[in-house]
Amino acid sequence: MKTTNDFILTMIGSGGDGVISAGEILLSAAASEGLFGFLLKSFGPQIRGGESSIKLRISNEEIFTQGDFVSVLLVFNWADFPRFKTEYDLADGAIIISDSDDKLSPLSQNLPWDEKKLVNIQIPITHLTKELTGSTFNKNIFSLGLLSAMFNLPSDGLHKAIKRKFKKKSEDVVKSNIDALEAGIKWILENNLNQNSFRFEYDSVEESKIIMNGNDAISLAAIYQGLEFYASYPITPASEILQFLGTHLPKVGGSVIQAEDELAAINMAIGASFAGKKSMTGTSGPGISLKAEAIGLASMAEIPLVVVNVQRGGPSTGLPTKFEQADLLQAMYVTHGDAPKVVIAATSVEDSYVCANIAFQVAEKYQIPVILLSDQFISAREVSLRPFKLDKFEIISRLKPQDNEESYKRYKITENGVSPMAIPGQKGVVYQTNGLEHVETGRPSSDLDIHQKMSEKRDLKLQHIEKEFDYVVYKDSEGAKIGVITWGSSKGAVLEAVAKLKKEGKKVSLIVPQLIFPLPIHKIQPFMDKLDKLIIVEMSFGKQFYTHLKSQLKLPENVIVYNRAGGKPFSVTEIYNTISKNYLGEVE
Amino acid sequence: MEQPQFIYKATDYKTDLKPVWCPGCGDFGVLGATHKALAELQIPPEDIMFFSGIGCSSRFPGYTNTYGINAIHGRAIPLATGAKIARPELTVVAVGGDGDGYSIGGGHLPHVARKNIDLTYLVMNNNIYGLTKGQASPTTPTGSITKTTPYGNMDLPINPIHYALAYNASFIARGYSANMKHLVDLIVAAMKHPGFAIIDIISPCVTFRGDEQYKTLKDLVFEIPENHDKTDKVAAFHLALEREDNKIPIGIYYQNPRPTYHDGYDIVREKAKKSGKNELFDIYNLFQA
Ligand SMILES: Cc1ncc(C[n+]2csc(CCOP(=O)(O)OP(=O)(O)O)c2C)c(N)n1
Ligand code: SF4
Ligand SMILES: [Mg+2]
Repeated sequence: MKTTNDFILTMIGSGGDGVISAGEILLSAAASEGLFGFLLKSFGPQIRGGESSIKLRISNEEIFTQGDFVSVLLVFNWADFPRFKTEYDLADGAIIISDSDDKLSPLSQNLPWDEKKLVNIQIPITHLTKELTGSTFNKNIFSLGLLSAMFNLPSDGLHKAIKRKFKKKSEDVVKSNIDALEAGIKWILENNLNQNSFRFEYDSVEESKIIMNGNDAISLAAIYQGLEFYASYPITPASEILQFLGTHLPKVGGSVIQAEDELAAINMAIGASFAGKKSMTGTSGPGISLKAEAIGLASMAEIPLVVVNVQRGGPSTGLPTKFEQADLLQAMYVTHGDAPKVVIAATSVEDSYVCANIAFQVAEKYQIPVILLSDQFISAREVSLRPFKLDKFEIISRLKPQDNEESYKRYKITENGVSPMAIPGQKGVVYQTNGLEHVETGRPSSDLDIHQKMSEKRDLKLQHIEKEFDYVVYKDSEGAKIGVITWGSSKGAVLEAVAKLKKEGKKVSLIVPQLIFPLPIHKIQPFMDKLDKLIIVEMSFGKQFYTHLKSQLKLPENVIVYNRAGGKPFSVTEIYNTISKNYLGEVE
Repeated sequence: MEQPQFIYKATDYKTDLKPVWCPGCGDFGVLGATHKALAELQIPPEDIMFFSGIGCSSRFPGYTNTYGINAIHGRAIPLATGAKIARPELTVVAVGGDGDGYSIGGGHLPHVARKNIDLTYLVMNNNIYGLTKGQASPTTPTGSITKTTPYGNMDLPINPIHYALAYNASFIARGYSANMKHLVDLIVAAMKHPGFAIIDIISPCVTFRGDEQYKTLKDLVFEIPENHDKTDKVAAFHLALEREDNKIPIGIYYQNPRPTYHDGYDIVREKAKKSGKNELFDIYNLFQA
């Protein structure tokens, strides 16, 4: 029997089948035994209930994607299958498990895979659950028992995860679920169905993991940096930030408000920041379109502000529950006029914590609006990852004048463009400002020399930010002639593809800027200069990242853009194939 | 008994920036009345924030020696809301025009009113867009000729008092920029009112609606009689209906205090803290597998 350290399970079912909760429990089980995990959920169009599916990858080794090929596919209800069939690819030798109580079967389907390479197993799941647990209610947990015994999935962890999940309900609920799990395990052992062509082999690790999604990571970083005010209007896939902060921010003294629209939300955040509090607003692409004018105000009046965009598929209402990386140019050019602003893009769940910290540091230190880009692929995945230290980032707060500072000027021209910002309540430094062009005191002025000088002042901040916050993920491969650049959530697939090529002895360099605007040119240009060929990977039909890079850098002569419209994340295989096909060999 | 100390004079609330307003503009009266009201209330200038949108009237914060921002068109209310929630201990005032508050920013009024954010909103209502030089506003009377209604305005004007009543504002008044003393009293009452207080202030635009207005308004405005029951919403509604004699009642139409947003949020905060696990690390621990 083959063993594998990298196991990918997909489950598909109808509303009552409990597919999502089964996926969450198995992820939690894996995490409690110290395994890495990556869970994606997918839903049909119904607002509530309806068909759903999960894809869960678990491994002893650190993983960066959901993985390409499914090892085991469990389908409760083949009627639900067509909706999801384009989302998944099966590995050669994959095992398909069906509920033989289902009217349909895989044989009735037009499977998009080579059936000769697949193994079909039928188990009367519904029937057995009823017979062995007294009802069909715990079918999903019973199935986890089946899978656990068939493929050696973490059963201690499953016991723990079930207790954890149901203990809030009652001891009876815990017991009935544990019974269902054990009934499933027992049934497989009694029927000798634990001898399959492969099994998951892993070592339990002492240190258990944490389970988090990208929106949680952003929220945590914001609280760590001292967020005191969050205003937002609900929108998929950013609402979880509003919900999470609404629950937790009041505990640490902050306030959260659901605004009447995105215009209100951002202006409330600006008002709160003007009043002296660290502020944030969050939304998705359509909301950013509405916030545009106010982002310009924050830039002009130099008010610190973090604006989160959890991108979804666009344009217009687009694909609200899918991801895309097509709000990049919007982030940089969202508002009229020469309005300096900063764009930072998170590349994963852990990195959302990093990037949100940086976003606050930049916003506060440079009194500038920072757009933090995430996307649905980062926000909606649940991953099991190494616990991280919360306090590895400096907490930066805006520069303030002394009370009664002599001849205080709110917009005093300084070496790095940053002028002390008086906080309402401070004596003797009272000032009035505006979105009009203004002189150093804040008084309006339409003098052209002033406009030139103050434009320079505001722009100066960008020059300093580019040097000081030049965050990039950089994997140089000495002597590589080919390099890959990508941004945001596409990093995962590129990282795994490059690692795979490296194992084959191929040299490929990789760079992923987190600071997108201003782009840290001093780090990226030398990277480009070493290459004969550059591959740009981005999930944007319009090649927005390519447009951006072209405008900022001198790119190698040979540029290949690997892009498409969003929806389905890049697979490692397609990135691997693209790089392989273009591989140039090494410099001797 | 110790005499209260008057430290701040009305002029202490005035900046030395010369208003861009046309001579005779009603907004001068509102500015003066506001400074007098602040002096009457003796609020230290550094403890006050003014927020405005865009318009002639929205230039107001620049002329008021408190913290302030003349921001973007229509957003005075959300800016002020955020500031008040962030700093409930400070005094927050939103100011602006009829276009700013009832048209482009009209969507914010219901929400600041129903949330009962403790701030004062002064609307300088001149029935016109002044800054952009004379287009129709949401309070321009039907039939009026303006730059954008060359054949007469087709639309019905908004009745700001009805508007505010419908949204449950807890303090609703109307003032007139030329009745200084009365306006000062109104602003003082509004600022003392715990909760959202709106004053629609007739503030003539002499440039685009003519300066004869002062002559006609003088005979039209009259103070709301003492016996008007300010807690009676229906009476307030009746009082604000258009009258056959075209007269305009000024004063407090409606005042009925109720808990403010900030009172409510204190309760939210207490509930959130009930678990006793209120440190960042406790929150982080929720993610532990
Ligand atoms: C988004 C936006 N749209 C339009 C304008 C142009 N604009 C500036 S002020 C104004 C109307 C002002 O009218 P009102 O609020 O009544 O103020 P007033 O000048 O009469 O005091 C308009 C349309 C703008 N500044 N911003
Ligand atoms: S245009 Fe009208 S509203 Fe504006 S300053 Fe002149 S008189 Fe006042
Ligand atoms: Mg007006």
